[in-house]
Amino acid sequence: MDLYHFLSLLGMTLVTILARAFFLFANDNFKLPLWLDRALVFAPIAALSAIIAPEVFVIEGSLISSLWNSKLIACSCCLFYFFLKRFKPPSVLEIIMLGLAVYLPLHLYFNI
Amino acid sequence: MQGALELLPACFGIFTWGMMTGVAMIHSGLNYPESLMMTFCVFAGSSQLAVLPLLAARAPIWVILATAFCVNLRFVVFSAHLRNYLKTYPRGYRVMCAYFTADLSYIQFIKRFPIPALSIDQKAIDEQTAYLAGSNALNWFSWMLGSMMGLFLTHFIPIDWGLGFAGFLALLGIAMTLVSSHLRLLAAVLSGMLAVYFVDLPLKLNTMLAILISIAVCDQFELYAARQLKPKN
Repeated sequence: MDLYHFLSLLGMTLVTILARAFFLFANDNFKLPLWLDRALVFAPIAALSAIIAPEVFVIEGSLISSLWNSKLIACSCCLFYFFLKRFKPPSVLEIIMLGLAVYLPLHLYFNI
Repeated sequence: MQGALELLPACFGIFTWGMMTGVAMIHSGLNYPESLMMTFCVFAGSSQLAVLPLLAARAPIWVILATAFCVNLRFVVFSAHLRNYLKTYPRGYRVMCAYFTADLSYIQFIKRFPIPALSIDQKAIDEQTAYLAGSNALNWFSWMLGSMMGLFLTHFIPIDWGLGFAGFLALLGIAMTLVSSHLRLLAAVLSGMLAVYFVDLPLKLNTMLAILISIAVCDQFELYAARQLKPKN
C-alpha cells in the first residue's frame, strides 16, 4: 500500500465520520432552524427519490430518449405491483425479486 | 434485534450493492489491502464508487476528500434529523452511532419512529437507539459480506450484469412504503425531478439540492394546509 492511497483512504474515513455526524458534534444548547427541523420529516422520501430517479432516467449524463428502457420498465412494474397490493404492502425482497426478474432478461438478452 | 429483522428483506439489495462495489474497487486497480481498508474504514458505498476513478488517476488528495464529502452531503441532512433522537447521549457515542448509520438503516429507523422519544424518558430513548443499532449491525454485515464476495470473487462476477441495480430496487421498495400522504408523494416526485434536472452538477450535488428544495417546498405546503385548517375568527 503506498502512502498516497493510505492518506486518501484515511482522509475519506474522517470525511465519512464528519458527514454522518455533522450535526452531532455540537453539545446540547445547539438548535436547528425551525423550518429545517419541521421539513426533515420529508427528508427520507426526498433522499430516496433523489438517489433513484437519476439512476433510472439518466444514462451517461443525458436524459433517456426512449421509454423502452430496461430499468424504467422494471421500476414501472414494481410501482404497478405495489399499487395493486397497496393495502397489504409487499416486502422489499419481493420488490427486488420482481424488479430483477423483469430487468435481467431485458438487459441481458435484449440489450435495452 | 427487531431493527435487524425489519431490515432483513432489504439485505439482498445491500449485499449485491456491496458486491458491485467490491468488484469495482479491484477493477480500478486498488490492491487487496487497500480495498479492504476502504471497505472497512471508509464504509460509504456511493462515495467509494465516486472516488475510485480519481484514485486511479492519482488526483490531489484534497480533490478526493472534497468529492467524498460532497457525495456524502445527504448524510449531513440525516445527521440533523438523528440529532433529535440521540441528543441525550455523550458526544463520542452520538458520533459512533451516526458513523454506522447508512441510508437504509436511517430510513428504516425514521419510518419506525417518526417521533423522537421525550428527552426525559431515557428508557424509550434507549429502545429507539437499540432498534437503530440492530438495523445498523445487519446493514454492516450484509454490506461487508457483499464487498468481500466482490473483492475475492471478482473474476467470477461479470460487471455488466448490472446487479448493482438490486440495490436501487431495495431503495425503491422502501421508498414506496414511505409514500403515506399526498405531500410525501409530492416530495418524492419533486425531488426525483430536481435530481434529474440538476444531474449535470458535479460531485452529486444534484442529490443534495433536490432534497433541500423539495423538503422546503413540502414544508411550505404543510404550513399552508395547517393554516387553512385553523378556524377563522
